[in-house]
Amino acid sequence: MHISHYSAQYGHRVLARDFSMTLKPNVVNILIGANGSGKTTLLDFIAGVATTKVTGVKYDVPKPKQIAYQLQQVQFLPTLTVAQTLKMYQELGGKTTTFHDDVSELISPVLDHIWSTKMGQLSGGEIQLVSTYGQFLLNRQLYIFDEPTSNVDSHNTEIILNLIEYLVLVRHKVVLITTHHPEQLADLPTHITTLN
Amino acid sequence: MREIKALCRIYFINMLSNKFVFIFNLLLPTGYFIFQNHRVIGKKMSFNEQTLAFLSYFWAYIILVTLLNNVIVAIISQRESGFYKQLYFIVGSKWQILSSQVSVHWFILNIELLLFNVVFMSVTNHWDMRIIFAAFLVSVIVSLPIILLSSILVLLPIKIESLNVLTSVLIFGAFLFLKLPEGKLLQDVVTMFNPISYIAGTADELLLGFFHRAIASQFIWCWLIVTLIYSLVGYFSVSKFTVNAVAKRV
Repeated sequence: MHISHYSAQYGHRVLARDFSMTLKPNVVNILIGANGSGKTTLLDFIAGVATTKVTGVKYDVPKPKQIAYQLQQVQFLPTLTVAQTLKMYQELGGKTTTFHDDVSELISPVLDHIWSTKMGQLSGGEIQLVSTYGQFLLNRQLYIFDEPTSNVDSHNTEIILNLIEYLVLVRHKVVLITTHHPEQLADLPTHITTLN
Repeated sequence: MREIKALCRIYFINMLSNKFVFIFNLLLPTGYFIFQNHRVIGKKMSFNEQTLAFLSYFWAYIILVTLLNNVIVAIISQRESGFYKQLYFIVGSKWQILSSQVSVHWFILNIELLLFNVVFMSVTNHWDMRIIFAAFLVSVIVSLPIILLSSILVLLPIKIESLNVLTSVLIFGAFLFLKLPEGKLLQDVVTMFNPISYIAGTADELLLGFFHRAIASQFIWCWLIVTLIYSLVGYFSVSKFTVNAVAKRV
């Protein structure tokens, strides 16, 4: 998958001009850049939901229906429990795995404690974890995570990164993440692109 | 279909957790109706033209307020919070999300109308299944056009905090400017462009059709013109509808 001639403007601010990047399989594609550099705008463009002031050419990038996109500020219906939310992912997103299936040892110690808790009562880090696991339950060609480890403690960060690693190395999916901490992924095969 | 069923269940669970809206949608008009008619409770009343016109305005309030608050305001607030965008990338279709939300709240609307009609028939001491059936028919006929017209609100770059104020002003305004002088077709079209007049007019004609006389042909023409305008407004709004928040970045 490749993006070229990408240009973006937000109000009067020019975020990118003639930018190119390639998304490779079997590695974690990392997009880094300063706050306000337009990382989310680029992710929106790749995911097909960009605003009109964004232009560029996409090669082999799947349609939105084949993209799993975890937003930076994850939002769910606060009245749903964790179980209901994950069931929603499973029912809506093309079932690939049952709960606690191939990553059970990793995820169940955390999820078992919050299974019946409403999403609105979870901490920010727990919401990120549930959301990442939700993306994991989807069967898509491209997975996009916008700062998946922001506001997450070190233990849950490790779980989230393990889930992402599993997507890349076991399921051979194309994964793109943005982060301000690329050092957290030092143990993984990565391909880093910087958005200036 | 599996996706729509799953989405309907989610919206239903969410809706049950927000019972406060029923106070505004149902308890308020029901309480007002009982207050207005407490002197005649238990006395057998006939469904004359005046009574049916009176009833149709209560239906109009319940239908408009329910569809505005539960469908349009909910869609806007979910979009502005980022939930809609997140859900779009889980489901993969904005149409499935919209149709699920509309289906759930249309079902709820019919429950509300049924409960109100039970109260209405208890107060008037006149039980007639045609009232129940007419309310259902009105909800079938007007819900989609009203949603289409109201969907113009999704284009406004308005903060969630201001949204409820705006809808209250719109509902108040709709009741305030309810009647223009009746007469020629153009005047009737302008009057009916007000959603309360549109719903109440449809309900009144249907009720009259059930109980008293045939539906007036001028009303049918007027209704078709207004419905076409509502549909065009809706088509424009929905085609411009984006999953991204409008008032702020999410």
